[in-house]
Amino acid sequence: MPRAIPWPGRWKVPPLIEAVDGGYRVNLGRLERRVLQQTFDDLRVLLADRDPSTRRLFPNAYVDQPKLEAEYQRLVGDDLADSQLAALDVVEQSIDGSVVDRAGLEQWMRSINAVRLVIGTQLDISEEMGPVAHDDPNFAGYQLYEFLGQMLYWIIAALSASN
Amino acid sequence: MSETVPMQVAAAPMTSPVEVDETTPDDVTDPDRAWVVLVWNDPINLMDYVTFVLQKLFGYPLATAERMMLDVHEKGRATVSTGTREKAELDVFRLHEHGLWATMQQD
Repeated sequence: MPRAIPWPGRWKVPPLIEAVDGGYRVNLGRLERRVLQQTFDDLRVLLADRDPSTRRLFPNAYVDQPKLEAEYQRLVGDDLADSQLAALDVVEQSIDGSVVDRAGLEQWMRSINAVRLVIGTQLDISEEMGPVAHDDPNFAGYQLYEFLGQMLYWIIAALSASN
Repeated sequence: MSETVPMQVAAAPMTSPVEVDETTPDDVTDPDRAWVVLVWNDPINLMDYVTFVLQKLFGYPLATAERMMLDVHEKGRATVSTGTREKAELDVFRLHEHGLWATMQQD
């Protein structure tokens, strides 16, 4: 697991995740909002297709026990995918800066982590990765991956501050 | 990219959930043995995130959740809950909902 490193100065005014009356506001710039919305749209398509890049969202429950695993999968059905989609619904309703309650911000946390897992899988992130070269063909993807990590960090910070 | 801390995975041998061996199905369950839920290390989930999710789902104090997270990070896996098969399946599902790499097995 990597450690989340805060990015000093970037989110000072207003804070990315702002505690307000009745909950929290996610303060995104126009461009950030568009990029995130595109990412969420992509995730919906990938979930519907059960694209291989979503495999980290659907791990096996059992190791070396195929019968129990099959039973478990029958029991769970589409619940896991539906749960991700329900979280995305909440996120997309508040991406414009509408106030969300604590449960809503937790859905933000899950959705940001889910897209980060998918993009990280597409980028084949590993423990040993060093800095990415500016001429890397996936440079934009790594930037987005880092942005999602920063968002996650601030969401957790906001939720932890009000525990 | 966020700075990544290189992992020092403990040398202890462990079975990786990735490698499902279809030829040796061990589907026998022993009703007298408790089930344990394991979380496995992965290169993407953030340490703070794992700690937060363990607190949220199981109500662990910060120190307990951090110790479990560090076990995952340093030893490759950690037991995060125990109980009946039904409870373990529910816990695994909730961890999967949060994108953590969780599996269950009998103690």
